[in-house]
Amino acid sequence: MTEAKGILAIILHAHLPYVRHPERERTLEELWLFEAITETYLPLLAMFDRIVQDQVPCRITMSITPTLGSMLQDPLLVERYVGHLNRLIELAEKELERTRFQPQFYALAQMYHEMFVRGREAFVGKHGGNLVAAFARLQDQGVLEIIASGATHGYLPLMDRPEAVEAQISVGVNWYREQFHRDPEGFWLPECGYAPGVDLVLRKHGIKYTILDTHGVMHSRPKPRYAMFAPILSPAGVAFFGRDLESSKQVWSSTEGYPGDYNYRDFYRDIGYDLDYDYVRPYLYSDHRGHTGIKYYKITGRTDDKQPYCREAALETAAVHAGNFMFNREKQVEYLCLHMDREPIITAPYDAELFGHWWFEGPQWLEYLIRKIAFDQRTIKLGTPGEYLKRYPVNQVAQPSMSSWGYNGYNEVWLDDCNAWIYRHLSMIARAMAELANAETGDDLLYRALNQAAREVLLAQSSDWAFIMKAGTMTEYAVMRTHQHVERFWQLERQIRSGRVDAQYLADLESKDNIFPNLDYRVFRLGTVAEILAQIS
Amino acid sequence: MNAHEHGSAKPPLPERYGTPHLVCLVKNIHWAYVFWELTEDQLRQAVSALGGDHAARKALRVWKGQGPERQIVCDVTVESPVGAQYLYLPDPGSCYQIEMLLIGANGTITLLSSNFVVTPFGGVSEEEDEQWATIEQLYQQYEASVRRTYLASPQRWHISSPMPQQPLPAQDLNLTLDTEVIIYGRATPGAAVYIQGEPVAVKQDGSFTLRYSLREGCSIFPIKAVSRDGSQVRSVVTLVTKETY
Repeated sequence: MTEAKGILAIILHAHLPYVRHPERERTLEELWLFEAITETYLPLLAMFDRIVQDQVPCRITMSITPTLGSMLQDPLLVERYVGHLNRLIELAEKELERTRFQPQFYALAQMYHEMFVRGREAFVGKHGGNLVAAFARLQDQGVLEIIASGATHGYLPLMDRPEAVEAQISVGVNWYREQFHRDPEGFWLPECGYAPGVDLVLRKHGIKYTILDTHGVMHSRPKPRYAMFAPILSPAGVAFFGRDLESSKQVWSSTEGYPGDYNYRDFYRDIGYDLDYDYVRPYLYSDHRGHTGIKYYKITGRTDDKQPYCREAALETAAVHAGNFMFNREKQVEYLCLHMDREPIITAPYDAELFGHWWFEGPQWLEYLIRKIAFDQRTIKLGTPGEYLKRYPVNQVAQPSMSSWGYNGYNEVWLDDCNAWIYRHLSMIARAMAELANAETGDDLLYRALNQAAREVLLAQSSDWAFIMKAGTMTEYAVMRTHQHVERFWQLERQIRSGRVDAQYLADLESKDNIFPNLDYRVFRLGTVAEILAQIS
Repeated sequence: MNAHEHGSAKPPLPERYGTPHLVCLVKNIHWAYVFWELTEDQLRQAVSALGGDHAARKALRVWKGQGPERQIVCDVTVESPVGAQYLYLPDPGSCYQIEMLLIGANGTITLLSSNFVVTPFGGVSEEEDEQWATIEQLYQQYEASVRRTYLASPQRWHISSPMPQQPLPAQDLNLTLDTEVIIYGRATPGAAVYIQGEPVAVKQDGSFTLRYSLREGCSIFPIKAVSRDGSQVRSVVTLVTKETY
């Protein structure tokens, strides 16, 4: 068999912020997780299982953030998700009845019913309610290379306190070890956000590589010899892979990207908006109309006159798009080979939730792509950054540029007029937490309070809150979460400093903000930072 | 769901923390966001130190670079002791620090200093000097430097703080602290080495050692080696942060 000339590294970044409200029966924001399980994680797992079963060569890199992974294993959320699926199945059954004499919709109602029933079988039966373990199995089977990420997806370039960067990376790496029983090779920087110095902390925790947006590598000093088609090594000893522009645009672009094809399912046209309110109300998560997950129309075009979705045509389009994507990567690699003395690597990172949730046919597109690459050509092969580093251990040393994959490439999505106010509070709680972290205590209540204070700091730092404020949707929720975690931290800080911890208040917070049960507050300790500084000097 | 639907109003956050601070965050290539808080005590003492000059004005001073070579970019007058604003930073890929000053008729007092920030490079480099290495090589360099640091530390500690032979008589408790950083390395024999642009003495075997008093905040040490014939240049930048609490 002819050796491939280049590597395609597809990276799926799976992340959702930590949303869990035991104080309420139903929460609209918990629906983010439920939708992602039904539409993205379960379809991806089913797709990878088929790939394994058919023994198709496949290597995909995937990050599962600690916030997402923790929610996927939380008993309350798992129980609520099963309840959610049961309601979806009930709604789909009603839809089978309602659409019985509308053939174009009845076939779709059948599709949804089957999807939900199979989803429940897989979630409850095959995976035992633990999707993190299911992804871990795929890593053990050699299909996935799972990489670590920040504890709560904190945006590192806007953390002025080194203790905060240390805590995000350290807790994220430790969570990975607990879940996957190995050391992570790679680390997904939240929002691809990099600032010089972050690599020192990554190196301290044994991380070998991470991914930056294109300009993070292209603007490095000195100029990267192979542009973004080979990694650079920062002076700290961390490899940086740059996002490929071309493959990114083909999938991400809202105008030219595949997901906007008129044959694909329309995301916004949901029966939660179309049908009688009393009929859909039991399946909604607020008093307002919203998404149920059952959508019968295709994008159709730039028109409000949407036409019924045709599954067969959509899958045919996905196959064509997979072929087109592969063809373009082949041509790209053939061209690059003329100018490079090693295999080029095309790094193609995407939000995992794009596949299935936003782009309904995304998992099928990915499956077609994997199979076509395995059987229909010989120019490219799928690979991971970790494997590439093993094959090409010698790389150019260069200092990457501060960068992110947000709008305009730097920090302005997360630092804007609408969200800049959060950083004073985030800075102050990180500073206060670093001071508290110097405390040693044998008192169990105080120890628990210190750990909970650390949890509140981490939860306040999620990049999602600033992002949501900037996006302008669900803003009130993001503002409230920031207020809540900052305020809870200060309450705890006052109690800790006064030596009078309110056990009931603490227990209430522990039950609500229950992420990282094994967290040790000393991860914020200045000694940890001093250790880094000693290593630098 | 909004805050109301959660059944709880969003809890209020402190408007002031009573902790002096000045923090600088990079927004993009040219803009930074700074926020600060001065305490009343701090202001009162500063005014008093300026001879009771109540007309003294507060200003944010933008510094570019570090150490003796740093340059003033501009002063921006501010009114409020607690505030935030954006500042223009002219040169991409440069290091900046912001200071809060009280400027009076007879002098200037530095009230607050921010963290150091480095702005993004903002374009493709013209520098094509290439160094190639494996992760393992960089790890070995790093581990070797850590070993040397650990070996050096107790000696320095012992020299500066010898253990007392007998209990000292009771007296007012004093604690003074200073810190130094030692930069040492090795270049090809015959090469010239520069730290922060200044030539340093290189031994015959190419090794060099320098000892600096370490100032509060972030110190950047660009280290450059130039081959004997001037045809090759290798650069390393080391960043050391000192924080005292």
